[in-house]
Amino acid sequence: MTTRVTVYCAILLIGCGCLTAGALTEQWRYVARAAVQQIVADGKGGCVIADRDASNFAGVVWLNQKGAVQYTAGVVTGSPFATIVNGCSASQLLYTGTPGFPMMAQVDKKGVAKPVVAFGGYLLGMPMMMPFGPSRLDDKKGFFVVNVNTNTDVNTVVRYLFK
Amino acid sequence: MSRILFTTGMLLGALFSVMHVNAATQRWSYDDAPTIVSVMADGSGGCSYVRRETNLFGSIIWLDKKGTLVYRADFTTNLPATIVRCTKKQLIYATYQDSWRFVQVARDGTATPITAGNNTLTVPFLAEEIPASFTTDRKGFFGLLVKIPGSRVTLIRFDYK
Repeated sequence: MTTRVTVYCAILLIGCGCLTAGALTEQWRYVARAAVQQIVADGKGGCVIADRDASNFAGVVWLNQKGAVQYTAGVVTGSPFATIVNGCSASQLLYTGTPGFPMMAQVDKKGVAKPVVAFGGYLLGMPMMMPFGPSRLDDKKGFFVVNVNTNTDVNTVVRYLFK
Repeated sequence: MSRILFTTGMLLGALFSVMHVNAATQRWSYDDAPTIVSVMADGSGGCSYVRRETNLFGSIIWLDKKGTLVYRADFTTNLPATIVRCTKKQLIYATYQDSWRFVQVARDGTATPITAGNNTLTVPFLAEEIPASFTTDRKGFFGLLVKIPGSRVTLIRFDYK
């Protein structure tokens, strides 16, 4: 009797395993230059990330739906209090950097950056209430996670599809 | 050294601005606040935001897509104020004065307190300490112009084109 129950349980577990093994599919991954502090999905399978190294120098990398880099800005801020990514869609990216003083930039899908201009001062994309802005990790077909290697601290952004 | 960096940055920024001045179009601006701590786009061109006076007393302000004031509430407290939801049809916010108070505001500016019987309503800890900002929508975005000199803040609506 005990053996039969054990066999049934084993069959049930194997069945569950088969049913759930295909739940998520890794689509691509991107090894970041430094610790990833913000990910904003573009809604079409790509995303923009802000990464910040131990010296607080932060950069922006915009990845398309295949995980390829379509825009990168090496060091956009050295301020530990600056919010960086303000918004991202498949056609454009908005971020605020501090090249000497805060400046907001609009990047088109060709990777051409233009400043957002208003006269009489400097522009911020959102209030400086925290060292990084909110993340948006998901879209219609999948989501993004940060895979941290616990031996090397290397951060890798991984794109998963829901199926 | 910092002054040199600042000046260099200003010059580079000005040059950059002249080279690419047509990036985004400013539609309207609003306020001359000591500081703005949270902005939430309504998804249709308007937004709500939390401003603070120099004594840190807070206000909630809701603007429509033309930058016209829909609703304003001023508080005699420096305790947290959190925007819960903002669409073109309604605003829901929470503020703290003796206890957390949630308010729903209709498009005509009518404010109705949200009650939960004998229960206490609250917001997640992070939302009260670090209110999130969502500053973009389908057609444009909001930026904060920090004026020089003085550092007072004006909210600006830009269209992407």
